[in-house]
Amino acid sequence: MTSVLELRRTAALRRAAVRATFAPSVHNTQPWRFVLRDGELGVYADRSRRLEVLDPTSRQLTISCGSALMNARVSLASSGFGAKVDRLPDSAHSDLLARITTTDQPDTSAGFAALDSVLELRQTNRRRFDDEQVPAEVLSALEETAAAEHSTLFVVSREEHRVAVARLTRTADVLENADPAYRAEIRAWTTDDPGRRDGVRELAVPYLDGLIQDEVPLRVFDIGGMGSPPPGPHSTRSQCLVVLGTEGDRPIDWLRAGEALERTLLEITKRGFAAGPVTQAVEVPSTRIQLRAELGLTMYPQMLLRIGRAPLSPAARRRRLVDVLVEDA
Amino acid sequence: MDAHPSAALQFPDASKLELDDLIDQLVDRANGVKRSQGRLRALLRAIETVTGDLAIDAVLRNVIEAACELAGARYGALGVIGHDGGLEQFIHVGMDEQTVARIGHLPEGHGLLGALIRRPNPIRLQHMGDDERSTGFPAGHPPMDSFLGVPIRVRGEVFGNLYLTDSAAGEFTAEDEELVGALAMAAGTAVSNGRLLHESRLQQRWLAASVEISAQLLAAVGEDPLRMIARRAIEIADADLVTVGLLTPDAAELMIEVASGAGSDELLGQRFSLEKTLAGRAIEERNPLLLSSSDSTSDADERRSHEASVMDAGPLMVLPLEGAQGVRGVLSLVRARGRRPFSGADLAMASGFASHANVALELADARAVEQRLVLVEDRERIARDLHDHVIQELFAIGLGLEAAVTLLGPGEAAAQSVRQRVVDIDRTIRHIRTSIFELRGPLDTSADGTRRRVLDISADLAPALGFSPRVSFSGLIDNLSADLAEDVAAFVREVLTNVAKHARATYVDLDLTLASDQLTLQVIDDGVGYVENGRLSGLANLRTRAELHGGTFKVFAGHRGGTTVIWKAPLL
Ligand SMILES: Cc1cc2nc3c(=O)[nH]c(=O)nc-3n(C[C@H](O)[C@H](O)[C@H](O)COP(=O)(O)O)c2cc1C
Repeated sequence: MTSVLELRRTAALRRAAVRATFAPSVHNTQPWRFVLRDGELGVYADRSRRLEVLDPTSRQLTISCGSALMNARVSLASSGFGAKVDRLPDSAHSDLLARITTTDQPDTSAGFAALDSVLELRQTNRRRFDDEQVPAEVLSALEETAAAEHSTLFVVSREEHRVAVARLTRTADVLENADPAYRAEIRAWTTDDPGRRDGVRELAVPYLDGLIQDEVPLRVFDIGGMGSPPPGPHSTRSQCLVVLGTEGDRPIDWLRAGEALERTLLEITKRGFAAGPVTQAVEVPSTRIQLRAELGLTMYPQMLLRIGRAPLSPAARRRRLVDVLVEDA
Repeated sequence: MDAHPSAALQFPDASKLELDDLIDQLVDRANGVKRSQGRLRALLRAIETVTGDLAIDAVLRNVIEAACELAGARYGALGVIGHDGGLEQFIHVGMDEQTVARIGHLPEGHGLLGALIRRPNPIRLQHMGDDERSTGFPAGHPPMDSFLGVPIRVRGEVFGNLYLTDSAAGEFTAEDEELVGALAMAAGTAVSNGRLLHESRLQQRWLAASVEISAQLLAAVGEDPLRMIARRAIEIADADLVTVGLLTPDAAELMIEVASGAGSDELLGQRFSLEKTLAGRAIEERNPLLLSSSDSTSDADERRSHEASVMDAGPLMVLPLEGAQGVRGVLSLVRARGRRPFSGADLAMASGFASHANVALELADARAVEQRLVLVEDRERIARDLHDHVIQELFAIGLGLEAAVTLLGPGEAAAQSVRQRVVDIDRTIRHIRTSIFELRGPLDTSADGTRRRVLDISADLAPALGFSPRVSFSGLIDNLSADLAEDVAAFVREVLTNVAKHARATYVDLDLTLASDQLTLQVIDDGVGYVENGRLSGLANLRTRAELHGGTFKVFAGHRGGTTVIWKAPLL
């Protein structure tokens, strides 16, 4: 006979999996699968959804799954459970990225469980941001958040650092777009198809006509001028830019970076701010190396984010639960 | 039966009566006529109040109040008859709250009330206690004596009954019965209009929702259409919980994909067996279910509604979602136990929501196919570009260099290095061909040629290696015989696994060449080498395979570290 407590644990883990699906993912590939079995939730990488051109090493795929893992942890905390997370427990099955079991001590770090309420409000915002500065106390709270997740948040504040980020992002953007395979891949993952549950929506992407060149260009989703929030995001080097990085550069670090990313994004959302990744510079090896050197970073940069205030965008869709959640009785 | 009221106004036979009596009677009758006219005016006023309001509940309350006033009754009530023939609704006036609380439950339609339900004709009694159909009152019920009950018909069907008790005059008269009967008729019309209005308002709201949902079905962003359907359905159908369940990929179970209302958070992602749920029956029968209770005891297979796990489920509708591909899942709407059952009009409306949900699901199927085609086209275009331009240019450069070598003369050192470049170009061309193949390949699910297998194996082992092996092909590798193809797959898997396990390499080059009469497989890595560590044993199997074909298997240490493995087999 299964006890009431066991039923509650299973229900909490199931909810955690459902909440995990709201995580951000590179090109909205949602490269994950969740398996609920024996009171344990497995977070698996679905490598058939890897971006072969942009992400052959699975770095961004793993970051995406790390974000999903963070959502699961937040959900468990809000259900009154703690989460014991075993990261990359089984190297023989490297698709198993994390194994989560519940404990009776929920994570009581300030406001952690409360992040559950903004989980569905978080979104990647590619609009023009207000000129309003992000207050220093918000940024220092975000630094602490990242640190709590074994990562480092570096606020790009010095002018020469801003110039470097802008220049390297432009360089990386040009290099990436010069590759026809990269463009084909991005086109395959950009869509205005109402039937699709994944991919980036054309409407969510700013209108970029190639004439307006932003200082820190957002990724061009090959949209033929169909994007919506006109007239371009006006992404400048004076907006708030942060680099999220990790000490190492192996799958475990990527997973942690994903957790830190999502927790940071949720904290940003909770405070009424918007954010969006601008990651070209950390994707191209040469610009990534230069970024480290020019910003004097010892960590490995994993994500670059712009933060500010902007109106909401329409929400991106998620894959159906029947396609991502498996449960064994 | 009772006399018609106009009979009371006829003059009796004059010869049998004294004149005084006659005059008295005339005065009486004249007063009676006046009074009747007064009461008829009261009836008209009452009908006005009753039909003035179109909200059914207000109409019903007005009917009882007007009837009590008209017939001078102390207590009045109106019972609405449900689908099962019992009393679905019981509205009453004249009793204070304490008394109501003391009685506890409302009548269910037994005794006299039940008699009226079974035979919808007026019943008028001086003492209800004397009637054999009476079953008496529950404890705490105030005493009641005289009784008048008349049916209310709506569009020919008995809708309910109007009950009056305790006439102020001690007993209800035939005239009271006539007047109240007339009022009941007017009430029937008012209820009928009220229903029509309610239905048309519902229709309007449903149309508005329908327009909103249709627009969302065509939008690629924003709220998931299934979610929107659940959200609007719960509000318009006045349900307490609405769920959309989809069949799991093995079609064995139902998973709750979308839920709105009480307990929805807990239901999401939960799976239910088809055999044990009402949803399963709707799917099997491919027909909607409309039940007044979620746990109809008559049900031999004891199926329950899946919603019963999170709420006290009552009336319910379950509609299968069916498209060109067969049944996909269900839409189900539930009210809490004790609430009024769903009507035929509710089911029609729910069917509208279900067809929207079907469109949402079908659209996803159709677009997935289309999307694939777009993807294929894109890849085709790039593949063609690469092939038509890049490879040809490289060929041209290669040919030009070859010509230069001849001009330089073969002995020259410069010629040597140019020749090396030509080999490099050659290899590059082969790499490009491989990527063209990869661009075209993965979408062609029917292809299970040797190249595909080799690429799949390399991709499988990439995580273990920590990088993707570089693979190149030359010749018609896909045309190998079945057993050679098996050997190629075994070779690639074994060798790459070995590298992954032992070599700590940072790259692996895999080359497969089918030239005239020989198949050559070559793997080069920059790892720590195999031979000296005696780890060759795992590869003995590959030697045997080569020898079976009359071929060879060799392992060399590279000059600058690393290992080269060459497997050759002649084609017979
Ligand atoms: C690792 C990673 C990298 C991303 N890189 C970019 C990027 O370079 N440009 C961009 O506009 N969005 C980027 N995104 C955001 C995704 O496109 C976004 O999460 C996805 O479309 C889902 O939308 P949502 O975040 O609004 O839910 C990235 C997300 C992740 C997790």
